[in-house]
Amino acid sequence: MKEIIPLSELRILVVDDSDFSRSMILQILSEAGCQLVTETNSAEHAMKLIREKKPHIVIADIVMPEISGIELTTKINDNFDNIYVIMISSLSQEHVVLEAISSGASDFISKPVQKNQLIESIQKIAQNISKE
Amino acid sequence: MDVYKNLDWEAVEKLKISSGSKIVLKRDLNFLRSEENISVQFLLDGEVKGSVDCHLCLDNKDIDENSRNYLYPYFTESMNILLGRLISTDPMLSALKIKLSPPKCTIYSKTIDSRLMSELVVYSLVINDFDFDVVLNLNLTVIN
Repeated sequence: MKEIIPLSELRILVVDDSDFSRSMILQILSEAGCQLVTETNSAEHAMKLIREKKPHIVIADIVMPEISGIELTTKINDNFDNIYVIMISSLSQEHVVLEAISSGASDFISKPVQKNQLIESIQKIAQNISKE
Repeated sequence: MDVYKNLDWEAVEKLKISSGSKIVLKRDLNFLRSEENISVQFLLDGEVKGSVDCHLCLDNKDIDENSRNYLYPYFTESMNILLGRLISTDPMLSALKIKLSPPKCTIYSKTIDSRLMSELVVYSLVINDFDFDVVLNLNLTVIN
């Protein structure tokens, strides 16, 4: 029987150009016991960090300058296996959610990010990740 | 179609941003003038085109440099969340495909006089014990 990875061992990358939003998410993750969290304010830097840190989960904002979260998710799915993406956005219209899911995101959360919603999403994804 | 006249402002009367902070729609009709403010602009594209300029009024607020540095990203993200919520819940806008740009910030104050502006709405940004007026100036058109 496979052993599910605990939150403390999950490698998570947070990608959001908003300093405020990133700090809010980092605080939520810290309070939940996530210890292996990396952050960046750009999708371009995120790709570099993904190669270096090999995160299990990427939490990415959709609206970012230059490369959007949607484009980032497509690149992640084209270049890496077994990385789950949780998309966040202030827009939560049906077409935005559908576009996020179509690009390969595992979940969508609208801003402001609520602690329970984010942790529930991470725990659900973690059930698919085996302890290394 | 004029977006401003058709928007349901009541769609977002109050919005919690984080513990200790929220945005509240202001209903009073008093004129508002500001000489000290910071601004952020969002561009909309898609089936609605135009811009929304958001101004945070800092007049008569005793805020030190550190607090200002904290306030700026807070305000910017709060406006992003407010606009996103308005677009996603307003009966007219929620049905349209709209792209919201990243924020474009301006730290230089400009004179804001609500008597001279059209298509505006005023909110309060409440952060702990502080209460700031926020003026949104819309310039949006629905593209058929």
